[in-house]
Amino acid sequence: MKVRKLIFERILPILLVLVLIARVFSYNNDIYNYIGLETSPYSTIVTIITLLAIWFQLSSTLIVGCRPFFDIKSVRLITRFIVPIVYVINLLYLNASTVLLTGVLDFNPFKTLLLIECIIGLIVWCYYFIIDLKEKVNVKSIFVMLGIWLLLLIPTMPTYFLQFTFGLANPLIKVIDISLAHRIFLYIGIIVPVVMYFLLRDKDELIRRFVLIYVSCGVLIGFMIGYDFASLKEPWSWPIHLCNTALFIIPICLIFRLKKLFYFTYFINVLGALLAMLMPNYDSATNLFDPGLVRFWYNHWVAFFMPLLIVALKVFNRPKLKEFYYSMCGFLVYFLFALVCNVLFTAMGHDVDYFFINSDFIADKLGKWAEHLFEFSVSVNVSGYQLVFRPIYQILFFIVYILLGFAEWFVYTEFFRIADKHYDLHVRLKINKQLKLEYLEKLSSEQKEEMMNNNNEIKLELKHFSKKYGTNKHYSVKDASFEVFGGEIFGFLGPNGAGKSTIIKSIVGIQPLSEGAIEVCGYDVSNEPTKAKYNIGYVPDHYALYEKLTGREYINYIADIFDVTEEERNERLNKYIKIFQLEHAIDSKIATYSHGMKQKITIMAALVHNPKVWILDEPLTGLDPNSIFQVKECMRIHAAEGNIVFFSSHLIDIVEKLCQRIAIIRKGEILCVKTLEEIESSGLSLEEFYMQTIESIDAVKEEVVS
Amino acid sequence: MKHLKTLVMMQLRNKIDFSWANTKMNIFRTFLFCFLKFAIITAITYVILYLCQYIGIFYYSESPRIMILVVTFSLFLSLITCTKDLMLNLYFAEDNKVLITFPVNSNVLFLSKLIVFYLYEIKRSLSFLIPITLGSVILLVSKGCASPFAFLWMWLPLLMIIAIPVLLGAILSIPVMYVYKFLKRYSILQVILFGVILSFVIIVIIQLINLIPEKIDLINQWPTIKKWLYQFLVNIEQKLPPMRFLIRIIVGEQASIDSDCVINIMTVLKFGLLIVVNSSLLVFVYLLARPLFFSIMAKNFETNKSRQVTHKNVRHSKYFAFVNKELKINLRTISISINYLMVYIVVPILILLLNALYGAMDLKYLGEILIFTFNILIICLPLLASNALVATYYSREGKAGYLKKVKPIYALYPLFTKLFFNLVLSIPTVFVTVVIFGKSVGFNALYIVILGFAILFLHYGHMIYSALLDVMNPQNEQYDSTGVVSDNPNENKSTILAFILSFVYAIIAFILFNESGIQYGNYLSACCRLLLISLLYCVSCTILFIKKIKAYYYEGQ
Repeated sequence: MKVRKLIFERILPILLVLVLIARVFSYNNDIYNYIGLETSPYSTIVTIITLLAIWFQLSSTLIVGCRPFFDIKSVRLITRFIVPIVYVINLLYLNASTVLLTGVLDFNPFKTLLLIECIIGLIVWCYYFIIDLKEKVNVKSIFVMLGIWLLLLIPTMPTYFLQFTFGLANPLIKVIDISLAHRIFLYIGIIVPVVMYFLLRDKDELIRRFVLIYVSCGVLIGFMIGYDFASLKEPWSWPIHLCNTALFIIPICLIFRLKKLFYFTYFINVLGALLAMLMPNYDSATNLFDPGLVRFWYNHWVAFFMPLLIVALKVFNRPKLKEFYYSMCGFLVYFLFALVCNVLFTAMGHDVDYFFINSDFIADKLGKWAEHLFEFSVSVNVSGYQLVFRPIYQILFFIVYILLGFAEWFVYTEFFRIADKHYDLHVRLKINKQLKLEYLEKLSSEQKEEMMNNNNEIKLELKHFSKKYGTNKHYSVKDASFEVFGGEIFGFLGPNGAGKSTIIKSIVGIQPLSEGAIEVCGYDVSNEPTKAKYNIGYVPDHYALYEKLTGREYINYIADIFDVTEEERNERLNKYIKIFQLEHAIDSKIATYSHGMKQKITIMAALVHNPKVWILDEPLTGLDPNSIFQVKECMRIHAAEGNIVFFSSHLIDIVEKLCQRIAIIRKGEILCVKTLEEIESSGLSLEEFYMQTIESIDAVKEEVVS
Repeated sequence: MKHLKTLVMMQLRNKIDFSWANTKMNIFRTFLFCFLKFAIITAITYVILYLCQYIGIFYYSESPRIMILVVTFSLFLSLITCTKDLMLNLYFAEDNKVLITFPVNSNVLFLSKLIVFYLYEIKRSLSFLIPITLGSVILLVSKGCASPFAFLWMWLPLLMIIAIPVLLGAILSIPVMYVYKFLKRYSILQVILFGVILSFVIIVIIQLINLIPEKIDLINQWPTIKKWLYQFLVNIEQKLPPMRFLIRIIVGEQASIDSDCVINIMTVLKFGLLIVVNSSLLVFVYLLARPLFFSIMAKNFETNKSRQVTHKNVRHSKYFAFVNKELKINLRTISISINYLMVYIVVPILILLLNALYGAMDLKYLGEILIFTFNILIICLPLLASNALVATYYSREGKAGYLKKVKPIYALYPLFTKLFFNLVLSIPTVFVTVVIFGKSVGFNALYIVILGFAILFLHYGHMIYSALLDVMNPQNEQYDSTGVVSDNPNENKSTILAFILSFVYAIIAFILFNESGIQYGNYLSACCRLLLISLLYCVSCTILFIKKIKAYYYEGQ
């Protein structure tokens, strides 16, 4: 069993990828120059099918190679349904692809490797086909699979494909000098990672890693097609330009999870790629479909955005300043290496310009002053080789790059700060949506009907309500539960900072709940806030009014929001104006009112829609004796009409005279909920009971501590 | 002394947002950004002065004259803001209610207010007066026209110079406060006064437009213009000897126009004289303003009773209720009404003036494109900068703002209603402005409509973003306790973004108009692309606003 797994899930897939890499080495180096639809020895259809099949095989082999390591639904489905078709077509068109891509029909390394690749691919497919046979597939998942497959094809597009298929593009389109086409290519370098980020940010780590490895490997293999491997024997032709190195480093880092090496790419390659994209080093006459141009952009896009995307998708952690310094040391090593190679190989008579510090390519773009700096050179004769250094230009080049690296650090910090904010926003919205859905699912159909009819019992209910502010670990209110019924005046007592206002603000909707639930007349304040709020009248602990409006305008504004009819508002407003003796001031601006008058307006505004639950947070502060009496009367009348009056106060005498029940809260915990009768029967006044309750808890806690 | 320090620290913490000082990284970042901002302004000043001498507007040795002009302008602006802010801070601040009850000597209380304001003014000067002066001194020193010692010396006189508008502002705040109270009492007078000022400004601008010659040929007329500029600077210097005196204290004495500036005994004596002047002003302020401070401050807490007319209760629809409330509050808040008028009337007039000037010039292709760009820049700058007020809209409601959450309506509606008047009033302004611009440069109706919508959407996007800043970082408590937030971070962010957006948008417009003109021989493509960019910006800001309200609004306190 283990041997079979080892063969089919490790040896063969890895071998398959190795064969693919070997096949890439066997392309004719001159393919760009001799094949096109018009010059193809085959018909147009055969040529196109062959070229597409070879392209798709690149993608298929990578997917099959990844299949054992990434057990992802889409990878399973593509392996099951698409891969065999691609391999079979390639087997059928083996001769055509050999002729098109190598120029000869005879058995050659390309043809042999392609054949082996197809056979191994089909064997691995057979193995996984049997394993995945039990998996049920519906039409939707087939369409999703097709969509994903089409997207996965993009990074593996061979660089020669556009020119082969479409010939040369309009020569007027120049991808250089910030022309429109150049700008579009630059935009792609930004849009693609943004789209990838949004598509992948909610996916599992496994999917994110798969996509990133697939894209980086796909582009690397695409880059190698057509590379003159014979030139590897000549060190001066090695691909060690900064952005070329990124192509190798990124997949290696991803596959083997090499963090330190990755951060070099993250700080150094990205900047290099950005500069290269802004100042492409190909000839201005290069055609849009030229494989060299396609290769340049694939290479630099990946070098530019992949490191950022890898960190944004949290596959690697955000680097710390220490890692930044390490990467700068790495850059120094690279710079010196490039400098030595440049100087040495130039002295040997080869045309070398690694990192563009050996030619005036960059200096030319910067202007004459840079050219002057470049012209200053120092020659050293070593063993007959004339080594030419350009000390000022090269040192300045290094310093500027390091400074840009520092600037990059701050750009990254800001970029990730914004990205984090957006991610937090996204997660919150998702959680809110999920909670809402869960709430609706939980509701029985009976409850839903009851809510629709709005014939709910007048009731205020807290169910294990807890509240934490922001990122605090400490709960401001912990596991508060009690019920208040219609017709009750319910007093809420507790010392300052006990959590009274926190509970009240959560009931009225000023702040959200951390845990538990609150229901007002059967409506959950979190999930049906609007319906719950229609039943609430709220008097805050400190009047909060629009001072530029008159008292009447303000109350009418509140009445409008609560849909109070004109007759009702006339009746109620006239009644309360008389009760609170505001006839002389109701049409004056609130700014001219005294503290007590403002409090009266707040109370009137809370009552204008005759709420079923009237909530008052320390309402009597600042009122004159007559008004206190009137407010108390209003509370009694409101409760007598079957409504709830829920109020917090420090005035225990008033609570004792008004309330049927009370709750005492301290340090966020509800200590007791009792009727006044129960307290009286214990032979204590409310004040004594309150003091005893608060102190006894302290005593118990001290005992526990001691 | 101990009380004074406590009072100063307490008020300073209330006035300046220190929330960034929570972690070392944030402190480092804030200082770095402040330093960068300072360095950038200094560098820009240096480059502008350098370019001015490079193109021959003046010589290095004449830099002090430019400094006179700039410092005068800067101090004049400071004087206006100091007078206004000191009036509000000394006599109308909500925290006076608390400060007045403290068991401290009344002199200490008064002085603490002045010191806080002075320190705040130094902070404000770091963004304008100080870097500009430093840029000028760098130019003088780098060209050998002043001693490098000026780098060390300049800070002392600058600290004294910054105190001048504060002290003068404290004196001027007394009559201004009486006028303010008088106007507040008779609101019709405010409207009349504002109308008169506005009419005066319009007349002046029209006169200026009439003064513009029919043909302006910068190249041929350059010697005349240069002479005029030189004469203007000389006149400024001659007519403002006190300012010449101040600049000499900073850069040193000059034996003749061609000689270098030297910091010598004369400079030190002049500096001593400046200290004497400031001390005299302080004594004058102390004698004049301090006695009034308590009496006036106490009077402002008395409620003004006015005769009331009884009104009927009127029912509106739930949705119109918010619009109705905003209409009333906006009309009754003079600062908001003036802001509307200032922006929505001044912008078209500015464009009229600008194009009258451009119209007189003989232009080539690039000049034409530059004119389009400057027009767009001049339209966008004040229009977007006016959104700084939007970044205070929700906070200005104080604690009443939180009660929106209690209402049985989805929060987005009242939040958007707050922007309703800005959204509506900016439509005619933008279109009138773009029509003036379009007609001046010969755009057809299609271009005008497209550009109008492009600028409108950019304005809307920035407005919504400014509103979002206020929602996400509310200052309600500060507005509730002091009635004014002089260093509102949201206002600052909105203004900075307005400047960046305007410049970036103008640069994009330049590139697009240039490209469109060369490629197609018309500007339709540029207008369409500008519209697309604005639309994308507006839509993304709106989506962000809606999403953030959904996610965070009920979390905020």
